[in-house]
Amino acid sequence: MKRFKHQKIILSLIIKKPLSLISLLIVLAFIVLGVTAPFIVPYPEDAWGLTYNVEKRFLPPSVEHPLGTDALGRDLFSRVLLGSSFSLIIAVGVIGLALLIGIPVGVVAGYYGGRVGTLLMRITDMFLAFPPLLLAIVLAATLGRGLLNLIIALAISWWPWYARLVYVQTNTVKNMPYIDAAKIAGLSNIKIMGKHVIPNALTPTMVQAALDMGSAILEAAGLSFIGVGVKPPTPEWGLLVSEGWQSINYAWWIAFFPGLAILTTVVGFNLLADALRESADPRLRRTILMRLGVKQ
Amino acid sequence: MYRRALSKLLILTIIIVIVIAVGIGLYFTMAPTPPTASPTLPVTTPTISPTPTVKKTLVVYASLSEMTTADPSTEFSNSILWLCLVYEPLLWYDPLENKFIPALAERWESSQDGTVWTFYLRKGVVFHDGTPFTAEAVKKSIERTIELGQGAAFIWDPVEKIQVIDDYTVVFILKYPAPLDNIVASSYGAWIFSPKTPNTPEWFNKGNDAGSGPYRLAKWDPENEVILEKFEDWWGWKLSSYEMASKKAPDIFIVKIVKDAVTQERLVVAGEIDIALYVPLEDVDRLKADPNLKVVIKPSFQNLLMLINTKKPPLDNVLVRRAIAHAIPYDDIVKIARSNLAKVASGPVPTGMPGHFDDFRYKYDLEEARRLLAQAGYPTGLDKTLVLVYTAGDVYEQRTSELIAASLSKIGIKVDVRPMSWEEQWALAQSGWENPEGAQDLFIFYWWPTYITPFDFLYNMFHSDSKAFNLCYYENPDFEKLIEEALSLEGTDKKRAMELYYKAQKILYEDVPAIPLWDMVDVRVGRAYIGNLEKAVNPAYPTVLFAQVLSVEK
Repeated sequence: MKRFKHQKIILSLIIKKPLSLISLLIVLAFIVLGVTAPFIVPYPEDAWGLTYNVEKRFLPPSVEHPLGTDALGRDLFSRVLLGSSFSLIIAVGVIGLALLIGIPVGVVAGYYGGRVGTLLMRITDMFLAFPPLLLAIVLAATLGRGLLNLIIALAISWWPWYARLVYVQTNTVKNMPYIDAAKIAGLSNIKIMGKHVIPNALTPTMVQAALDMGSAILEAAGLSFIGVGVKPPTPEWGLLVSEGWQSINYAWWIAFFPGLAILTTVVGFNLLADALRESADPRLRRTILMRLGVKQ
Repeated sequence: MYRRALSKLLILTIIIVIVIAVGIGLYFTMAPTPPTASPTLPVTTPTISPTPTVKKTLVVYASLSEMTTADPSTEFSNSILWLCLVYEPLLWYDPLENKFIPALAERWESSQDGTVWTFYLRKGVVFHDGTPFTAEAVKKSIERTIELGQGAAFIWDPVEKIQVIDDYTVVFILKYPAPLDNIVASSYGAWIFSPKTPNTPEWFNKGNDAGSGPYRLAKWDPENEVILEKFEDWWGWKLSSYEMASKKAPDIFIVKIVKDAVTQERLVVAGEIDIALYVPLEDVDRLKADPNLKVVIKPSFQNLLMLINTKKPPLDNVLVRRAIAHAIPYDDIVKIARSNLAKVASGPVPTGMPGHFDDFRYKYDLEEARRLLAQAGYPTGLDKTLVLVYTAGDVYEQRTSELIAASLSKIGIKVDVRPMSWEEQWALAQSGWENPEGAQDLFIFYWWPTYITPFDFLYNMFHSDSKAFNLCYYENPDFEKLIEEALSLEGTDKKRAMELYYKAQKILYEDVPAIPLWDMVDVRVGRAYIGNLEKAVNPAYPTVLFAQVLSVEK
């Protein structure tokens, strides 16, 4: 009951602030388009890069081609639209994979502490010693180009942050009386970690994860732009920008619209994450609620 | 708190909007072609001159790649761009007119059988260090190149020994007949340098030069710029008329490294550089219309081929290779990948070169391709996905590869297009002789000749002795015998040699170890006041701009 109320408050907080509402709509639109794009693109063959058209090269935006066409005469709207699917897959894949590695490492290190904790956290520190984007570039270049390799490379440069975050939270949670109670009740360590530590240590990490969705999209686009990301003719936004860059003096739209798509999505995710963070901060939340006149 | 957070976000949004607006604004102020563009930009800068009273003309030429090494004996890469201005060979070759232009040699002759070549050298030539040029310098330079055995040293393979008859006569004795006039005019490995300078690789790479050419090396910063300065004592300036010299040649010639075509275009439109080596091809028509610019389009001897792994099933089957050859949309590739600035290839020897023939084009015919594929036993297409590799970052290769993949899918051949760094691609391809199964299936590959002969193309890419570049892993003794015989006849019986080259290319046409895609056209864009730009470009010396023939009208 309490839980439900909590989420409802967050939602009402977000909706009440215009900027947050816009960001929520952007993110929702992105997710909906990402899921449905493969089925609704007007020119599927163009979108997947399976064809080309000599007569339609470099057409400016028009009714038939709302965002114009590219150097191979393919409909840019279809390609950008399908690009949202790839960005969605990348964002979910990277963050999901990073959480999958980071949470267990952080919880185990925090819960057991001692030598195990030190060992795990030092390994984490080793990863943190490299600038994340540089590490991702090196990994992506070594693994070779492809969607899966790109996700793996980014996730490997990403998980240490979550491990750190979960580690710190676990350290706080493990000294709580209810953990002692669970221990006295004879629960196994694994059960305690799974049922009591993780749920209580996760909130900040999840907020961070939501915040990172935008960054993941941005970094993936960056890697594709410099040529270590996905393979052509995949309509990934970063790759579309890099293809359009060659013709930017002549046909600005080819690089502009995918860039705009990246900008909108990333700003949307960042604003939404800001709103989430505000509403998750109890002190801040009380002030806001009072101003908005919501009773708690 | 809430309000502050909101205003922060608003500020952020406003900043983003401003950045975009400024970006777009800059774009529209820079990109269009206002005819008033920058009359103030200096072609003449008195500051660089050592004697500040004299106005010196200055020309800036943008190169796409960094310069490599500065040793004239071993350099086999980008530095050709300035080495051709600082050093001279015995002869230059103009392939479009099919004639030689005397450089350090004034006259030459060969024996009947093409094994003894005599060169009569120019008198009154001095190297940049003041040493007079003699036959001894020719002998020492070429012998050093042969001894070091790196880069293009292989071109001297036919040479048995070099004899100095007197100061101005030198004789080459060959092991077998070869076209030595073409060899001494090679774009690499044929430069003559002073015998008195230290001439170690370290000395050269510190930025010293030992040449005799119209320009001397003033600043050597291979990653950013190379500055060349007129050598006033060059013999060519003193001749009353010499086709490789102009009275209004620039006093200072700067090679500036600008690493992408888009920026080069911007800079030349704005007048910050005088000549661009590469611009995005789709913009060429627009640049032609700009009265401040001059666009030169010339044939080049660079071509693009798709090398096929002839040792890996199912491509070891000649019928499958022929099917692929008929399923490639050659005209569309030229239109899309090169904006029509190329010619559909006919055989591996590019258009305009001796030994090129027009009847080796494959017809784009999907029906024929399907028929051949069915005949090979694959009526519904190949069950295996073919791996096609190209150099990441090359937009022409990328577009070509995408078109090939799209078209082959129509006859049931799936292609996995893989962009790779050149080093990766090279390592993978080199493994193919040992383990063809593990190597790529299709390899998009550029070739250009070291010196102008069909042999250069046919030997390097298709002869089984050429393990480094024969990345089709192709072996055919009949073909090899034909081109070897043709080379030996080139010096004495050109006509017969060309017949043999024709036969050899006919074999390649039937066997399809590689599919030649397009022969490149060179585009240079210069400011309108750069006269003789067309004359300064010679396809036998790729990327070089012969600054000594330019005429700066400002």
